[in-house]
Formats: sequence, structure tokens, C-alpha cells
Amino acid sequence: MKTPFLRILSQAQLGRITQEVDLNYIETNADAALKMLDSFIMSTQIYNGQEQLALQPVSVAATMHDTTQYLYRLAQLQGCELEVRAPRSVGLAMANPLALQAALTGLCYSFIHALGKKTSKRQTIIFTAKLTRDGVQAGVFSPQLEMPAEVLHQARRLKGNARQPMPTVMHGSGAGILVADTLFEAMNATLKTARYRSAGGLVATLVPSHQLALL
Amino acid sequence: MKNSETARQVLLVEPDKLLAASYRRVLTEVNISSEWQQTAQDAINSIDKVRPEIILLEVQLHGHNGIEFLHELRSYPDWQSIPIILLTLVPEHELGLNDQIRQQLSIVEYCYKPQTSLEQLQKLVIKHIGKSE
Repeated sequence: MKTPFLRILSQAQLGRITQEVDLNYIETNADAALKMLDSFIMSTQIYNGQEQLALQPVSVAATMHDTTQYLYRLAQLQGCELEVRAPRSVGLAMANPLALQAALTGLCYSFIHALGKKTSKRQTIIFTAKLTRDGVQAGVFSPQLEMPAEVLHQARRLKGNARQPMPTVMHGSGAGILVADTLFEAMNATLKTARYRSAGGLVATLVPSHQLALL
Repeated sequence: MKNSETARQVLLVEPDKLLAASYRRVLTEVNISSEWQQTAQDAINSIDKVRPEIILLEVQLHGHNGIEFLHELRSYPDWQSIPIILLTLVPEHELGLNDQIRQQLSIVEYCYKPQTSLEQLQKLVIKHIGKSE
């Protein structure tokens, strides 16, 4: 959570030393930091029982498209491409629109953070949505990221007690994933590790809405 | 004695791509070149080639952490005296650093990232690179 603020601070200090300031860099990191902070506050309020989520029919595909719009510039800075493979025919799921947005933002943010590699090869993050027997499955994957089930279990056990609960997957706190875990749980969905073709990632299955929709 | 015109070499072990770019840029301003590695293993693999005069190290790394890196580094006789500046998000009290550990691992500075400006970092690297001659 501190990293984007550190980036902004160091860019400002660098500007003072070199007389060159990358405003796009500052704006992009500030924007991402604020979104993550909002997501974190929401998940903390839910975790502490201070807030309950009202669920309503929400388009998962549209929320995914919105999320990629929000994080597009941060992904570009880190050398990542964002793709959405979510047909609108998937329909609506019972979710809280703000919480779903925050959960997907958290997942995507953590993936971008983990994939910011030295290599010039582009890294890819894929959002998927599909209708399954159990409901609307929303997922975030990357071919460059392995996410074994044990990593997620361990992160849950260490939540709040470890500085780096997923060291084999990412160097940071994985806060985005833990935020998403709390938010999905509050929407009656459980975050799980999964694979999409050759990509590793995380999915949550939301209860489908049977409301008619003009989509 | 090294030629004072020769660019001095720092090994930066920093997992965050964007922060690493800022640190490298600020060192370039004072004619200090740097090699950047994101993981402990890559850093170990690069040391013979880089022959750094000083290592800037984040403790929180992907895979093996910075403490593991330090112990491996110090197990090689040739690399035992390379000074280390810890530049990390981990607070000092959580690392359990004391004088004995600092001395054993040649940790010459501890810098908590949120409280260390790039100007301060520049000065510290210059100070310790000067001593390593």
C-alpha cells in the first residue's frame, strides 16, 4: 500500500534534483494509490462489521471494462497489458457495484505490482467472466503468474500478522488480493485459485441475478 | 587506487521497477552507475560481473528475501566486505538489527524508505563509496 506513495514522493524529489518531472507518472500513481486506499477502507469497514453491503444486479463484464480503464495507465507504466474476455451475455450477478469494482481493482493492482518485471517482454493480465453452473465466475489471470492454492491459504492465515504473506508470488503485502478476498466474501462469493488456459489466477463465483436485463 | 573519473558501481536490489528507476536516475546524477536486480538470486548471479563497491538492498523481495541474500553473500570470502545499505520498507525494530549483526553483515546504513529522501540516499552512497576505495 505504501509503494505508490513512495513512487510519488521519489518522483517529486527527483524532479527537484533533475528539474525534470513526469506528471503522468505522478498522476497515475496518485490515482492508483487513492483507489487502493478506498478499496482498503471499504474492506476494513466490512471486516470490522461497520458496513454491510447491499447487493443488486450488476454487470460483471461492464465492471471489468471500467476497472481496466481505471488501471490502464498504471499497467502501461509497469509494462503490462490488460485484456477483458467477458462477453456481455454472461449477464448480471448479485453484487455491490462499488465493492465489485474495488475487489477487481485490488486484484488487478496486486497483479500489476507482481508483474512489474525487469524484462522488456510485455506482461499480460486477463479479466474473464463466464456463466457456470454455480453462477457468474469473475476471474483475473496472468500467464506470467503462478498462484498455487496453498499461497492463498497461507496468505489468509497470515493476514494482519505478516508483512509479506505471499513471498513466493509477490514482494509486496498482496494487500489488493486480501482486500478482494474480504469484499467477495461480503458478496457471498469465495476467492479461489484457478487456471485459465495456461494462465494462473484467482476467481470468485457470484450468485447470478435472474432479473431481466436489456443487454 | 581507482581513477576518480571512473563511474562507481552500485548493485541495487529493488523489487519495484518504478522505484528502481528513480534510485538509478538519482545516482546517475552524481556519476554513479548502477546495476539493478529484482530478486536475491539474480543479484547473487550478477555480483561477479558487476563487482559492486556497495549494495543497496530492499529486504522484502520476491522469493528469497534480503536477509537470505545477505547470508549467502557473506558465505563467499570475496564478497564479505562489500558494504550494504539497507533501503527498505521494513521498520528497523522488525528486522532486529543490532550492532553485532550490523558488523557481522557489513550493514553500514539502515534507511527506512518513507523517511529517506533521494538527496539523503545520494549522500549516503557517496559517503560509503568513498570509504570503499
